[in-house]
Amino acid sequence: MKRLLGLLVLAAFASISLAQVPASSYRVENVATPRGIAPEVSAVTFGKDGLLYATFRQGYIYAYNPKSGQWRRFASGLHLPLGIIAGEEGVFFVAQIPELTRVADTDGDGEADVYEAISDDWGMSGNYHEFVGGPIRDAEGNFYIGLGVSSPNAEPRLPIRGELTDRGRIAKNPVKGNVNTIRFYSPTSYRGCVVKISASGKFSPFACGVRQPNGLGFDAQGEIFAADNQGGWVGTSPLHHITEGAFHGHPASLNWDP
Amino acid sequence: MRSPKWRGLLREPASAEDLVSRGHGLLGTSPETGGMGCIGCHDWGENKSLGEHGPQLVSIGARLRYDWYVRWMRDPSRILSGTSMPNYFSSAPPDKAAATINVLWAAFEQGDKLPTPVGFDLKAGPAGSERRPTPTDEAIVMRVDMPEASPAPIAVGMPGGVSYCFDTVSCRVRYAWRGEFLDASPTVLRKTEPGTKWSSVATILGEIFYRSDNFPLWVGTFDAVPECDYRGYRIIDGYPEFHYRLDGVDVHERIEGAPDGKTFARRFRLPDIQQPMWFVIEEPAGVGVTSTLGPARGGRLDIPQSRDVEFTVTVGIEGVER
Repeated sequence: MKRLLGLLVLAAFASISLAQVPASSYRVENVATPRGIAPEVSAVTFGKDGLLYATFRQGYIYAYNPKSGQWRRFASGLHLPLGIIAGEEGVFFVAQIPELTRVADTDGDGEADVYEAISDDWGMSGNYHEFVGGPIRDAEGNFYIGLGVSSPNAEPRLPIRGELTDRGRIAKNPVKGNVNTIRFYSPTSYRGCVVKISASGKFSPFACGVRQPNGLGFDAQGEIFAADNQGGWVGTSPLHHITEGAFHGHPASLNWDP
Repeated sequence: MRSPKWRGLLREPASAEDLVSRGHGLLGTSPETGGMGCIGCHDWGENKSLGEHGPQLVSIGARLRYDWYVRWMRDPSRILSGTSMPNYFSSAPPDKAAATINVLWAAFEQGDKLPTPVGFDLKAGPAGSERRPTPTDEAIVMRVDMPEASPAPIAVGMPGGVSYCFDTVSCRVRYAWRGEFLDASPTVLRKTEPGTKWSSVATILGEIFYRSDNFPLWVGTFDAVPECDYRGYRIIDGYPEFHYRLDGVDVHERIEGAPDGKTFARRFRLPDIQQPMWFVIEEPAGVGVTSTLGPARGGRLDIPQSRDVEFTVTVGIEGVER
C-alpha cells in the first residue's frame, strides 16, 4: 500500500518575552512518518538525547532525528501504545493496553531491550474499547493513567484479567419489562477510573467516574486534568479536574467504588 | 442527474477516460496506481471498507455538489470539526490539489459503473508486513489479542518456524505452533466474527502442536497454584527472557526454538530458591518433553533448593531427537 503521509506537527516553544512578535515564537514543520509503518501516530515525546520519539498504533516506537530527518526503530511489539513520557536517556514510560511499561535501551545500541512491567494491576476483558490514557508523572515519581470503559458491542472474552462482574451490563426496563444492555460498562477492575502507580509499582485507584480519558496532564500547580471522550452517558467531551477520591459522573466505574 | 452543462460552469469537464482510470487507481490501495487508500475507511457498494466505516463512496458523485465536494476535500475539518476524514492536501500546492481532487471526482461521477477499486481483497496482511511479520534471524515479540488466552498475551515467532503464546496473566506458555507466525489483521482492521463483535484476535498461521492447560511450576506445596506476578521481559541474543514471580520467587524463562522447527527449549534461571519447587511435565498426545534435571518422578522434576539454579525443559513433537 502506498504510504500515506501522516503529519506530525512539531511546535518548538522558545522562551520569549511578551514584547516579541508571537509569530516568531514557534514554527510548524511537517514530518513524514517512517516508511512501511502505518501512519498511526499515537503519542510523541522528546527523549533526553534530543530525538523525537513517536509511538505507533501497531506497537512501534520510532526515533526521529530532527537534524538528519531520519527515523530509526527504537521498540516494537507493544499492544496499542497510546502514551509515552521520557525518563533518563534511553528510558521511556509507555502506556500500552495491558500495562504501564518501562521501555529501556540498556546496551546503548539505540534499540530497546528491556520491557519491564511497572504495573498491570487492572482488569481487561478483551474489549477493544479498553484504551489507556496517559501516563503522566508527578514530582514524587508517581504515574497516573486513565482506564477507559468497555464498549457495549462486545462481551468479555474469557479468560479475562482481573475481577469480573456483570453489574451495570444489563437492566430490565421497569415499564416495558424488556431486558436490555447498557451503554458502556465496566466488567473488570477499575475500568472508568484514573489510577495512581507509584515509582515502585504500587497500584491504587485515584478517582473514578470517567469514560475514556484520552489525555491527562498537570497544570502549573501540579493539579491533574483529564480530557474525557464523548460517548455513552457523556454528551460532549469534558475536561475534568481530577482530585483524589472524586467521582466524575460516568456510572460504569461505580462497580469498583473504592 | 444534474446536467453536465451546469457542472461545466464550475470547472473543466472531467470526462476523459484517463481521468476516470487515474481516479480509480487513487481510490484503491495499489502503490502502482498511486492508491490513496480511500477504501481503507469507505465502503464501495457492497464492498466493506478495510477498517473504519466512513460514508459510502459509490454514490458520492450523485449525492454531492461538486463545489461542496471540493471544499470538503481541501479541508474537511473546516466543514465538520473533529471529523476523522484526513486532510490530504494541507501541504500540496493548490493546483496539484485541485488536479487530484478533480481526478477523484471523475471516478466518483462513474458511480457504480466504475470497476471496484483495487485492494478489497487485501484484508489479510501480506507476508512480511507489519501486521504479518516473518521472523528471520531473531524472534519477533508481539503483544496482540490472541485466541485461547487472556487479553494480555505475548505472541513470539521464532526463527525455524516455532511460535508460542505466553500469557502474562498466568505467567505461562499456553500453546505453541509450527508454520508461519501470525496475522494481526483482524485486530488491526477490527474484523468481526459472530459473538466477538469489536473484540477480535489475531489469526494463527500454523498448526498448534502443544497446549498446556496447567501451571507447570509449583512452589512449596501442591495445594495451591502459586500466585503469579508478571514483571516483564528483556531481549537476550534475539530472544525474549520473561521475568515473573511465583509466590515471591523470581523466575526467568527464555525460550528458544530449534532451527528445524520441531522443538523449543524453555531455559529457566532462578536466582534464589529457598523452598521445594517442582516442574510438572505435561505431555499431550504427540508431544515429548525432556529436561536437564534428570529423570522425572511421577511426572515431576525436582528443582534443587539453591542459588543460581538453571535448567532447561525441551518440548517437541514426539519422537523427535532432542
